[in-house]
Amino acid sequence: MGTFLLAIPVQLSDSFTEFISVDGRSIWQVVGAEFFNGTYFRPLRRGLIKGVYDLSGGHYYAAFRGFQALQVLVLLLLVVRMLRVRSAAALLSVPLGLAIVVGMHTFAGAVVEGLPVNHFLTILVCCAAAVNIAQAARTPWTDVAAVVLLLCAMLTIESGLLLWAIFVAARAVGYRGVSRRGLVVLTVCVGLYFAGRFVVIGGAPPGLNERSAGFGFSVLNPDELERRFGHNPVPFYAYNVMSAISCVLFAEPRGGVWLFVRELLRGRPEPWQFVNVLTSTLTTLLIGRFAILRFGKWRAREFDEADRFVLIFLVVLPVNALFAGGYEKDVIMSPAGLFYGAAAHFVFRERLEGLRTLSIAPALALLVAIGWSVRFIGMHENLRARALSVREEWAYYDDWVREQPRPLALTAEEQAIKQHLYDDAIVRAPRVPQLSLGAIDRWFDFTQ
Amino acid sequence: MSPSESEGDLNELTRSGLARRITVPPVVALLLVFLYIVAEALGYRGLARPEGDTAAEAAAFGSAARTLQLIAAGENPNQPLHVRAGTLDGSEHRLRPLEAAVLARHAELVRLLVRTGAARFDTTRAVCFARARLPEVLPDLGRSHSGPAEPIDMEAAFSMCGTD
Repeated sequence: MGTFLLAIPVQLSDSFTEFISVDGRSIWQVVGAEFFNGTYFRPLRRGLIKGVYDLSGGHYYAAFRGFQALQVLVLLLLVVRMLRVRSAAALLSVPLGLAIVVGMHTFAGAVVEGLPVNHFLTILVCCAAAVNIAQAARTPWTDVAAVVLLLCAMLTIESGLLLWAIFVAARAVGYRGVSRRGLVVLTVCVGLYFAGRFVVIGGAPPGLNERSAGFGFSVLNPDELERRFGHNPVPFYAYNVMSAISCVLFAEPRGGVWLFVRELLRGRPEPWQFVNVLTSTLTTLLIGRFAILRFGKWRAREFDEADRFVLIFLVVLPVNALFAGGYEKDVIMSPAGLFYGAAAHFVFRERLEGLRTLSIAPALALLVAIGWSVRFIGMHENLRARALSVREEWAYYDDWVREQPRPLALTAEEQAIKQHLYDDAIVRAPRVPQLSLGAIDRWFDFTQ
Repeated sequence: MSPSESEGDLNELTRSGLARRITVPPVVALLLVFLYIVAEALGYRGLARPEGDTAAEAAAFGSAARTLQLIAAGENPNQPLHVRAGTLDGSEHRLRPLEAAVLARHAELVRLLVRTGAARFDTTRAVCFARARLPEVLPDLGRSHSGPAEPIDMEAAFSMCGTD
């Protein structure tokens, strides 16, 4: 995947302007300004961009694309480590587990977008690191590491608050890496976050007029959202939370839009939609059946490794969905997607270990494995398509400038940055062709 | 568990049908991706979407980035360039990138090429192509919009405006 990530230049939208905003300012100025950024409270988000920017020494492509590839590598290593592969059955279940983690539609936004540092990917790394800390032998340092990780994550992007839920759930299911006292400190940090953000700074949650959002079978623009839900946004928020949960479990709706159902009603669903919905639904049914069969043990507080991961997933899923309340976007649910993959890995692993908690028909197992493998390959083809679209975006730089809400007057230094990024994307770009698999392309999801 | 025990377990498990069904597809997928990366690094382009070997070909495919890349690499966009058979129609052609973009109906690319100085030649044929295939870019080529409502086919456009 790293090879495919490195083929994508630094993107123009959501990246070039970030470079301009951090250039010529100290890291403290960058971070400080983000404390009072209205509806969003993400002070470390630009801090991280500034850090990579300064370390790049002008080699933006190598630094930012390399950083994203490195994040993916670290994530996968942490995921494999948290799966605690100690048996043959565990080893044989790893490829499917990783195919689910990487092939999951919620993961796409973490790799397809550069941003230029993809903070959803950063949070995924933090989530996997949190589980590793929770699983570790307890020392004072594990508590310190947990607190530092939570602070970094929640000050990077709101989804970082999920780490608190992960630490609490991990402790509840028997992981003892973080002490009870550590959990209290983590809880105080979360309390201080809300007090600081909404009382001291006086921030407000994003309103309906911030952006377009999917609803039903279409995407509504801010004006339509305001007209339909302005007087009472609660049903819209509830819709988004339910959609986010359903999106992880059934790969539908996507971005709040019921694409598969819509196309089914029109009589023209695409093969990739069947692959996504069928694979996710079957996997969810297996996890669900496992949970039902194990429920009695859970009530007696008896947990094996599979129970722990399924339970952590069941905690993360609804909490994660709350962050999608304002608007549903697949990548917001990427942490839940990560734990979904881990939970599925353990369900198959238990079966291979001969524990027979759950019987899985061989044909069903094959169908699920093939489905996720198709999605895994599709993710890579998607990255190739992205490389091309980013290059095209830079080619039409002038059009992009015209479409900006505010006129973009660049200083000489900013012009030099732009030219460097432009040359990286157009002149020096590696020649990586987009793949064309003919009719097979219809089996891959390019909407991600 | 000792290494020999786990090896024995692994051998036994890999013989089980369920283990094979769970493991083989994702491993095959991973191998396919890996093999493709190696093959591509060795120059294999069998699964690649055509992107154009000349700026005119790239323009015919609608690839603005590749067109600009080839121009930056030294190709003169104001001179006719080779367009292989199968790109626009069944025949080979010699076209300027602007003409190729017009024939393939890539309006945004036409405007981009005009902006980047790729229209510094006698544009009579390009204008003729535009009247036949893409009247909406006629104002960008300095002419009034007076073409047919529906584009005519490629062959008719070439016979109307001339081939090379």
